[in-house]
Amino acid sequence: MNSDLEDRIRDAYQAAGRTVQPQTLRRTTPEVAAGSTRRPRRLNADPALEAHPA
Amino acid sequence: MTVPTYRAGTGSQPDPWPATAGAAVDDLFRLHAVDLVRFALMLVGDQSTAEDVVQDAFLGLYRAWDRIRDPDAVLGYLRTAVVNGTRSVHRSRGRARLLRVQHDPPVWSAEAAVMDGEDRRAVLAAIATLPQRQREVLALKYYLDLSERDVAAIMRVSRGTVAAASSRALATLARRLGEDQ
Repeated sequence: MNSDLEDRIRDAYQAAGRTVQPQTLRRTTPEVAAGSTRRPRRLNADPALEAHPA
Repeated sequence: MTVPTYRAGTGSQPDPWPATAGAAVDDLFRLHAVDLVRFALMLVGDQSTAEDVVQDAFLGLYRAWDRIRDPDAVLGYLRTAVVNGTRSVHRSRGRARLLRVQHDPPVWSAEAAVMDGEDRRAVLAAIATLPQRQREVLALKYYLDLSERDVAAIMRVSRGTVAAASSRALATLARRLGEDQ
């Protein structure tokens, strides 16, 4: 019973993983050599969010 | 910056080891970024956010470079950083929901339409409804195929916690997916 479910979980994860291919990554390096300035997160870049800290 | 001496041949590290931290992190990025983005995707749902999380994990590795004592632990460090990063994403999304900020739909949604298979999408959608810790355990155990011991080390919890979370997650999924059929 559980092994069937575990197989379905593995299969679903593998399918989702295949949607990410090296050529679809936006970045090809971690951008650390130039001084490692912090890049704002997309959500945190929203000024409305900045006005409402947790 | 002092670069630790790394052992070759583990498969998780560049060989020969680069002379600078930046070069070493660059090499590790080339070796592991895609797999880590895929892993992060299981926890956050969309590739853009997964890439943000992985990018931050590598920046954290770069900053922590001098404190790394066990070279074989680098990949574990990155996986832990990814798990922690996805937790931050979910906290941010909780705030964002209040403000109606939109983010990309998960890859398993019909809206995203990038993944084949109705059953696969149903399984992942059901997993997405589980508590965060249970989702982390499932992704580490069934996507990365790690032992409960390794999952516990990455999540910094006990093996018993991992086993219990895994058991509860499977029971919930069996019930929900059974109801869907």
